[in-house]
Amino acid sequence: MKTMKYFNLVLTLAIIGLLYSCYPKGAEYVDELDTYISKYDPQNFRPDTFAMPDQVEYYKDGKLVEDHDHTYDKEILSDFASGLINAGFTPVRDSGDTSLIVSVESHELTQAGAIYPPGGGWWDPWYPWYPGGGWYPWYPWYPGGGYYPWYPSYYVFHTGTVIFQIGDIDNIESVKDTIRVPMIYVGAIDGLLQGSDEYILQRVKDGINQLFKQAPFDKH
Amino acid sequence: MKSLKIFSVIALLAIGVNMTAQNKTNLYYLMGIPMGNTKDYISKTSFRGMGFEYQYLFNDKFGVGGVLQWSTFYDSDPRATYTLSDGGDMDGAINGIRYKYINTVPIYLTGTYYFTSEDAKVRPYLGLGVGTYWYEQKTDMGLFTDIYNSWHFGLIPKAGLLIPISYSTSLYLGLDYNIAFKNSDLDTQNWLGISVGFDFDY
Repeated sequence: MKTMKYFNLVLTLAIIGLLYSCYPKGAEYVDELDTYISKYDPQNFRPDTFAMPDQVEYYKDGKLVEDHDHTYDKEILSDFASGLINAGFTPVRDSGDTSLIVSVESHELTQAGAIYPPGGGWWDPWYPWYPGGGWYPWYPWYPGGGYYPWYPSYYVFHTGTVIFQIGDIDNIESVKDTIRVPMIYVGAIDGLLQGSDEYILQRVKDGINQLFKQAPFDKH
Repeated sequence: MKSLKIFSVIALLAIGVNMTAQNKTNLYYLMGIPMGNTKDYISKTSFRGMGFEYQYLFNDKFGVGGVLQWSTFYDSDPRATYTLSDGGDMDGAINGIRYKYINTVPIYLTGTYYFTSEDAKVRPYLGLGVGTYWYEQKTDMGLFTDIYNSWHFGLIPKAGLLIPISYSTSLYLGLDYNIAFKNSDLDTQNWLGISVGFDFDY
């Protein structure tokens, strides 16, 4: 009887161990978590004249980083502008002659959760890292780290989101004392900030390429 | 509900037949073959699951008990673009790799009828379970997740075999057809459970 009790215990532990070890893993590589999100105003989205910014604005945990390295800005801005031109938009140098204005931001977060966007009320306060449609941010285990442990585990990771916004300055709205530029398009490239700068840049470039393959550019 | 009444009548009849009490515990590895709406979401067979059953035997042919199981289904879709709609003024799209998970914990009461007596070489059985399912359906894409979890009423017809291998231990082979009925979050979910394990009498 005693032997049977031990047998039962060993059998139970063996089954739990077996199941624990083969829990599904999900993503194995960092770029498998890259997500490309686009949102647009179907009433007002249109090819038109556009002006690009001089540089990308960098934010870390919601705060503007003044002295960030801008080495890769030119390539990112150039890729996005090329995508717009291929989609029938017309670039202009002087922002006084344009109907649309582009803003590019890069946000880094040291943990998942709410981001605190800069104030100012210039842009319509809608931020695309929450894509809607039932999708919520979650806390990923580092890809390649294996299965989900059942015990408490502490982790630190960095996420990055590059956000491209197109504002319609032909239709500026005055709300109380502020001016709002209605956004007709927001594209976001979202993923884990892991790997070399070149690897991250390549993922951003792949993301820009994908943004121009999906709505609304696939319809224009 | 009709099935529940039939089950109750059978249970009461069995109680009146013979009152030689004995207990039985089944511990088993559990696989799951998705069917119906479950298959529409994840078509891959689950090889991750386990179950525990306790039975009180009124005689050597009929027992009632309780079951606790756990199964996990998993599948992934290649990178693709999906339409986004949040009911607002903005339309949209999201592109990524979808990782899909179902975690389910059936908890139910059973009535089991054994066609042969305890000393038979093979003991086929039929049973019916009535209870509840905790059911979680989760889709991860990048750093976002879309998750539903809820409780469902469930009905579980069961069939299987016991093959005695010693005085108090048998090999346990079972089939459970799981029906987790529709609720406000999810449609009815179905899968076939295949159990392989041991049965202990004491």
